[in-house]
Amino acid sequence: MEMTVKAEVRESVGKNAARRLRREGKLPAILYGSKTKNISLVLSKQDMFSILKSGRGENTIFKVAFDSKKKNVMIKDYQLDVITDELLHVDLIEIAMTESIEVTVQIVLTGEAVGVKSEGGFVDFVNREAQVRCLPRDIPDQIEVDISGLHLNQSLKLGDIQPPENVEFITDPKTVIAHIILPEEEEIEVEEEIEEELIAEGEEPEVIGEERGEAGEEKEEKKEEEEKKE
Amino acid sequence: MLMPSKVKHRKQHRGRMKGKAIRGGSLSFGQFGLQALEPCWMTARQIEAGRVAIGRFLRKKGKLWIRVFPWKPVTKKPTEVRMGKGKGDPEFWVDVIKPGRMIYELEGVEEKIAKEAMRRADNKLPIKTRFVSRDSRELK
Repeated sequence: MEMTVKAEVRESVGKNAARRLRREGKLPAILYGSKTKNISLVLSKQDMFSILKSGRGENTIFKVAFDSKKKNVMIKDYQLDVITDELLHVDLIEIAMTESIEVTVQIVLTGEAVGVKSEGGFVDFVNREAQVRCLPRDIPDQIEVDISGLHLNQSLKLGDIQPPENVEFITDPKTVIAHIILPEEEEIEVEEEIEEELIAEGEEPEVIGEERGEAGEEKEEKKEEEEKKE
Repeated sequence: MLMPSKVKHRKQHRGRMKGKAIRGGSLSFGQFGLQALEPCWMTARQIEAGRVAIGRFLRKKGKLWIRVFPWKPVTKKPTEVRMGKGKGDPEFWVDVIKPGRMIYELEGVEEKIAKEAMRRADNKLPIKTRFVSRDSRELK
């Protein structure tokens, strides 16, 4: 069943008004779409939490009710505070249920690869998401991929995965999803490290656009002589 | 130690460290990460010390990403030199770290091991940090 979220239209915009709203426990948001003008809204944080924590997460389609209107929307983007993880703002996009849309879906790996079990490798999960095109009702919660057949130095590409029904991958099929690799060896030769450090401290990087070589040195010498005369 | 191979200018102004990290604050590569909670100038030596601490603890496990790079030259005047006569020579390299910046990321190890590795790296850094994982993020 589709969820309905109550919202209010807000007329006050800008960081001061948004901060005042956040202090009251509300969440500033904006609604836009190809056929609607931008509308600034106020939402309840709890409603957004329940949507973001649901199985489909950001790709959940729900109804937003304001001013006796109801619109099918989904979360296009959201901002979090990098330190406190506080939800700061949400962008909602209006969805036409009959038109296909492009969304990002999470990829989940299942099974233990042979390369990990018996060959000493580990799974390098390179791309955790894939872009898909489908109708809003067909958006998958996640794409599960079985990697139990992967050996060491083998990789799984997006082209190897069968997309769910009525879903089309947009991401390049050559994109590597995961591969089984051996860990890199850490060089722990302390003496060598110290020597490297000493060399590095004396070095200076090349300056782009600066003349090097004899011509440059001559100029520097001339400058020094002029300074001494002064 | 890390340092740029080419620079446009040998010396830079000191600048300010206001605000939080705008970019580089989320986990982009690995499952686990070490996130800065304070601003600082992180030197190439400190970044390298953290890397070595993680590498020695993990030995032949996992994969490490260093998400910071010392782009900024810091100059220093020699000792017992009078003031004036221009800016000093570049002495070392730093990266300007703002709160929220991801410093290291790890993949291919268990959470318990990643936590300990990051704790050891944290000991080498001049600021408070926190351990983050993709599963642990709780919205507030």
